[in-house]
Amino acid sequence: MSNADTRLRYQGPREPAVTDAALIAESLRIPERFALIFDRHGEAIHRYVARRLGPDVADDLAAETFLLAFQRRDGYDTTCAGARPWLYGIATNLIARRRQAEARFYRAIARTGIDPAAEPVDDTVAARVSAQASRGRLAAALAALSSGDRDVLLLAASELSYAETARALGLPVGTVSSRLVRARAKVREVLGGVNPAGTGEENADE
Amino acid sequence: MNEMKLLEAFCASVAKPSAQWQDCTRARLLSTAAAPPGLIARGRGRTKDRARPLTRLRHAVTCHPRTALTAAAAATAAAVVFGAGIAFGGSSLAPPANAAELLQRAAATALTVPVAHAGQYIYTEAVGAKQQPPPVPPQITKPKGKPAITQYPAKPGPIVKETEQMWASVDGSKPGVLDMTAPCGPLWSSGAPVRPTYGACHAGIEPLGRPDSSYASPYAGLGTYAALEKLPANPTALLEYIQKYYATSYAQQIAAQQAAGGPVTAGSMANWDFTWMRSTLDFVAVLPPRLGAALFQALARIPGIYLIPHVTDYASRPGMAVAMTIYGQRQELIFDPDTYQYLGSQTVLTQPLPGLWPAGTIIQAIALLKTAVVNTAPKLSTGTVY
Repeated sequence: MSNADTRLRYQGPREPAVTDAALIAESLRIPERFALIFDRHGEAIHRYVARRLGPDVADDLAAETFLLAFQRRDGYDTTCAGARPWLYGIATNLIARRRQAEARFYRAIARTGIDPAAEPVDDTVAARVSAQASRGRLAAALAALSSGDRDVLLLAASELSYAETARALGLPVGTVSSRLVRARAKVREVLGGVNPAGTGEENADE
Repeated sequence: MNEMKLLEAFCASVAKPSAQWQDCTRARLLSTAAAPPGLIARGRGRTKDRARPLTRLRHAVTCHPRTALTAAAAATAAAVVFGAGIAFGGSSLAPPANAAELLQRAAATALTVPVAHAGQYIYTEAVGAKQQPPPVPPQITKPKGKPAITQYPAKPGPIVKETEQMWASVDGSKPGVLDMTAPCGPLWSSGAPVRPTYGACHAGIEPLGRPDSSYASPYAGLGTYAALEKLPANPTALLEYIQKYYATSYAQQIAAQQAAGGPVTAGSMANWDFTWMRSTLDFVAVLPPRLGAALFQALARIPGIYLIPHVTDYASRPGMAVAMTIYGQRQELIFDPDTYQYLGSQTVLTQPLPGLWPAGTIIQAIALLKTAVVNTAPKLSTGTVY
């Protein structure tokens, strides 16, 4: 038996942190590797879509996001280590085709106070309770935004930085920040009690 | 609270997608991702399908548990449509009904393991049962003009439990390291060496040679991950390769068998296939994804395999086994019952070996406790190398 002192020990994880970019590059040779991109980001993209179109539509659209991403993976900019902005961008483009459905979804929340996308209310975090109270008015405010402003606002509120939002939407960072300022002002206005009924510009294209 | 904080909470409080949606979507993605032949939709042009996965998928199954099929049915339907297994943690699928079904799921899981690159190491930590070298070494006689005859002593050494860690070079370009707790000797009694050991038998840490050049065994050249990457990742071609490999490596033995009037039977070919696969799984531990999938699919075609729904592996983990009984010994390849990941193998006596062990004795086993692709192997300082 070997002396315990001379035994080698596995010193924690030494696996290289494989970036999304490296996985996507690998997936060109071994397509199945792309499943790991889904493992990493599937839930976030589903939640993002569910927030904007409801959970039922999200089942289809989030899946389609990954299938499209898989098809287009050879065009991925491998200098971007994380794939999240890219995936959010694809999802946002798919959502854009359903602009009217999105506005209807928000107006329904505003009208009924029922949010089909929300997780079951069993947590006690004060911020969330407060958010639930404001849910209807927030939804009304979102329904009133232009789709461009809404994209910026919801991406920024999801988890992306300005730079990542800009990358997701293919816009300059300056445009992102000016849209964000504008969108936030509009939301503030609605939350301030001005006409929460959701009769915004979105109605124009229905 | 400002509007941005409210919006962040509004976005964060969205319910998670169902596990069924995740399983089902992942399965759709994997089946779209081409995969080795056989994992792809039957009777469809592969190139055409690959070019237009969305078209294909829109006509296939949707992952819409709320309104369409139940999740399990959807996942099963996806499996049927694409001929691929769904093999993911927490899967809602029914347990596999037979060995082929289990292996299809294992193939799908194999596709998702990390890829190793030249210059890296495959790390494995394992616990095993191995027979000590016999007190008397095998006698090899070589009659003139005839193949050598190896006579094994009637009494093999005792079975011991050992733990070991191995760092094996992916491409054989660097020496690896093997660290064992029990005196060495091949982990297997004969025929299918699993862990290379060099020089005299001892316990402790030793450098591994370069498997491609110095690993002296019938498996030379197969000891590395890189060598496996060159094998056909297609079940039919892989089986052909194994047969050809044995026909070459054992040409003398086969000739002797035929000269003695005994044909090379389908049974012995199945044994070779099974043994090759078991050795490869246990020795290399992390397989190139496509080869791993092809191996399990090829294994599913070997006549004589059967499913054991509940087994316990050598590390006391519950598992399911694909087994084959060869010469009174049940060889079990054990899989995780939830993820269908390969856990290791064991050989159990189905009939007593008189004077040695009763039926039910585990005479060979390896349980892979940890496998990983790592960048470095430990440096051996002077004094620890034997």
